[in-house]
Amino acid sequence: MLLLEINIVFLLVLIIFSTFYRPFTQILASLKHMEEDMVLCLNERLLLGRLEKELTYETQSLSLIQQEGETGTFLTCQMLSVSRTKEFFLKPHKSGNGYSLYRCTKVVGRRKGINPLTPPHVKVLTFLVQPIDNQSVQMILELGLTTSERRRRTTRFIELLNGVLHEKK
Amino acid sequence: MKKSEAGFIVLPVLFLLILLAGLTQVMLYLVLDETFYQQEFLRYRQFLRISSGVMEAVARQTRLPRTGTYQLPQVELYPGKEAIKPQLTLDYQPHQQVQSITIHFPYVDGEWRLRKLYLEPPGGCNYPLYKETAQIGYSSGGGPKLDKALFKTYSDRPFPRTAEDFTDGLKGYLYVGPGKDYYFPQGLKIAGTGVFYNQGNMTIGAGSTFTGRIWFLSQKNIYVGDNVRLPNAFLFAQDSIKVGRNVEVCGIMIAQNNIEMDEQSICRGNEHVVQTFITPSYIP
Repeated sequence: MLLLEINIVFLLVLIIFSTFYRPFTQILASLKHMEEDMVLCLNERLLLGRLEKELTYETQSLSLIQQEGETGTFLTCQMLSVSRTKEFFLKPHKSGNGYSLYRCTKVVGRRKGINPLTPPHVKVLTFLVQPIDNQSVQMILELGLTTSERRRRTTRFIELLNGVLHEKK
Repeated sequence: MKKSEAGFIVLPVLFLLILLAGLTQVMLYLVLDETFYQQEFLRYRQFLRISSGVMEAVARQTRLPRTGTYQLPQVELYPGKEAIKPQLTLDYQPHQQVQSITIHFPYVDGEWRLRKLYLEPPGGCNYPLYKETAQIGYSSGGGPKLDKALFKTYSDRPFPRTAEDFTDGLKGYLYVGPGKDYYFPQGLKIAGTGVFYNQGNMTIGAGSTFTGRIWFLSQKNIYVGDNVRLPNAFLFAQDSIKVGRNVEVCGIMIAQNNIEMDEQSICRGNEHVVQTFITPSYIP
């Protein structure tokens, strides 16, 4: 009898699954999109939070150089610690599509250190920083995933609380 | 046989219900979690925007209002129309050694603050003693005292701990010491500005150079090691200052008790070193 019950359960699951096949796959696809959006959102927040902290509180002087192709800006931050300089820039992503965001830290008398700020599965499509006035900038950040076509674009207004802006190009 | 028949339809339905309920729970948790962080992020950004504006407006005033806490107009944050009543605290008296502007944002889970300090030497920037002392560079005996309680109130930033903190450069804050004797590292070239206050003795390590504008304030003694270079410094000791060999100081040195200086050392006066010292804005 137990075997018969199990068979009927499987049969019912099969019937339900085949009846609701299309909505079910749509739900699964939506869940995947949701997960991808959340990954992008999380990475965007981490990246913006980090950049905003550095620029808002720790930067004494900021220089902007627009990189080729108008997809990126080369940022040079002279930090409050006067011996420390940080640079933020784009480099082509290993997948050949999009870019990765890097930070280069230079301290007088020490070797410079270059670290990626984006994980390997996230690519940067746009990283533009444009001046608004001498103490604030507009940052446009567009992130995408290497495994899908999902992308997320955000514009942020960032104020330099302890610094001033010097645009170079 | 009857028991098995009772579970006939219930089992698959239960199985499906559990599956659906679990899925809904997970999605709900993820959405709520994401909403919470997004809300925190947006709230912080709005605090920052308002406070930087207020800070700028206050700093532009030629005459500051009286010391106290002022209630600013209520603001509604986006999204959710969360009502916040920001407060502005001004700790200001003429010639007060540490003056401050603090903006508070009390909200449901706590309080967010932004602060900026304005530091004056004991007695104020225009205290006659400084002008007189600037001519020879150093003076001892009498004079105003350091306000111990005030510096304790603003002890948000401790002294740098490692040599690396010094080589990175000072950030221009008021650094309040541990209370016991403090020894600055030897032989380092330290860039940047800063104000160091300590209740105990302070020893500036031999061979060190502080390139930026720097204040050393001690409730006890200050010892300056051999070959130290201080091109823009204000040294104030409630007790005594002892300067080693081949030291070059450009600024002002004041000790309530005594200044002992080696013949090979030089001290040139610089009146500008005692002008108001303004720190960067920071979260206390």
